[in-house]
Amino acid sequence: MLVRSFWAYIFGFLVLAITGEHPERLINLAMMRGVALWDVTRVGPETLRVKVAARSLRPLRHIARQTRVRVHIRAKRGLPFTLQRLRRRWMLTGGAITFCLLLYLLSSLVWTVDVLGVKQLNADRVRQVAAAAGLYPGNLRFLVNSKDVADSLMRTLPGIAFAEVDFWGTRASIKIYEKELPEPSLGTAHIVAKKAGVVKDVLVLAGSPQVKEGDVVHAGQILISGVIAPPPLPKTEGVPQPPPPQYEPRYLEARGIVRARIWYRCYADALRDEVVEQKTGHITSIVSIRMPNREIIIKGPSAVPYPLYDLTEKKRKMPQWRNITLPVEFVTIRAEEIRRFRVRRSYDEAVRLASQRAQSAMAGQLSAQAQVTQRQFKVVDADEDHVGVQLVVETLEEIGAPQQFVPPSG
Amino acid sequence: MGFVVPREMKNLECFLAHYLELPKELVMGLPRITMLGDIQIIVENHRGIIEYTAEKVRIGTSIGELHVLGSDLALRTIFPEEIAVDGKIRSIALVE
Repeated sequence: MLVRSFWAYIFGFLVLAITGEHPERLINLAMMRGVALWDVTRVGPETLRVKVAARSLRPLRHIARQTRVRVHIRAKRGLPFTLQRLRRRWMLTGGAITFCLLLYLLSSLVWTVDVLGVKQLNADRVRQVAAAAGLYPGNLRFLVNSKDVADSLMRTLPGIAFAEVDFWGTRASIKIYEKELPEPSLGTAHIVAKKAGVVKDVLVLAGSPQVKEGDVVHAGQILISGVIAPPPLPKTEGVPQPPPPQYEPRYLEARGIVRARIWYRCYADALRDEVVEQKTGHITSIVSIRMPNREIIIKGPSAVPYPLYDLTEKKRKMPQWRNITLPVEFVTIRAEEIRRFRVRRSYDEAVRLASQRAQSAMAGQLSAQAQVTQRQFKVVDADEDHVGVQLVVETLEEIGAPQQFVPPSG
Repeated sequence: MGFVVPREMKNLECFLAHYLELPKELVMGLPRITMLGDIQIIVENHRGIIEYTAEKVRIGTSIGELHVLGSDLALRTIFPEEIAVDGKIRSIALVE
């Protein structure tokens, strides 16, 4: 059926009105002569509406004369007639084609170039280099070879470790990964203590050590000096010596590792009788569109159905275009039900909880490279209501930090 | 002198169609009437349309007239070998 109506459309067909006393005779005769009719419907007492292939009109007229019925063309349908109409209205056709071409052309242009990931470099300089390599707003997108642009950026700008160029529709984005250059030399510097502690070991790479193992140092104290004093004169008695060569003290950038033992203290307590909150696991989410004066709820109830709850709200705005922002936000609210209940802790439980709290408070204080050598919990005060625990942690960590100094001139 | 098919011959046709598993509508010239619910009726091996209105279609066949009664009847396709009638079909009858 579909195939037949497809071909009928391709070759064109006519909708005819057949008027006469016995239109059935025409149908039978047409059938015998091989003229295919379809969709025959009766629209009036003596009128039939039939569809017939465009090329069968002439034989059908012949049959109509024989059977004394009249044939009128009511409509011409199908591709040949549509094309004929379009040929008459060529401006319409031209406009449609122009529209498609223009849409294709405009959507294959680069409209904006975004530069991402620049810290030290100037984004405009990156844009200049990219434009020289062909990536600039207004250029056709298929003329831009993103690999060539990235290569050119890496070749031209020495501060770039890696660059990549991506297209997102008409928007090109250049992602820059800058080189992490070593810190410039400080010139002359001491190594001083960042924290107070007891020196565990000293490794000097450059400079003269000022502390030794077991020394107690305070913050800011020089650990390795950048001043190298002249060696002491050899002690000789009696024998006349030539005058010793005059050594000047040397100034340099001290380098080395000083590790020290450092103690941290942390106090935490826990109530023995407390009202705590716990999530019940019931979650309600509300999705809504928020406008300046009203709120439309897309999903979920209009209010949170719990007496106590924890709220997390996520807002999403439509992307900004130029300096136009729509005042419409998509808001997703997630409310988690909370239950409050009283707990009565035993002494041991309270101590354990306070210790845990002290431990987690301590974790915030310690630096990442600190190596914990000892950990000690001590119950410092306890009564009916609460338990307080002090945590003392001993760590081994590097305490040296460079500090610049100006050598005395002359 | 009328053309009379002898009784034996008719039986032979029937016999052949049965034992050689040939389609009976071809061997015996019978109409094959296929009905799709009450919305379509397809008649193969017909002998033309005798009457067509929106309520009644009469189709000639080798065994008499097939009357199709209903409403909004339309002749979907008309070919020498097949007629399809669409619409709301209420009854069909074979009238000798």
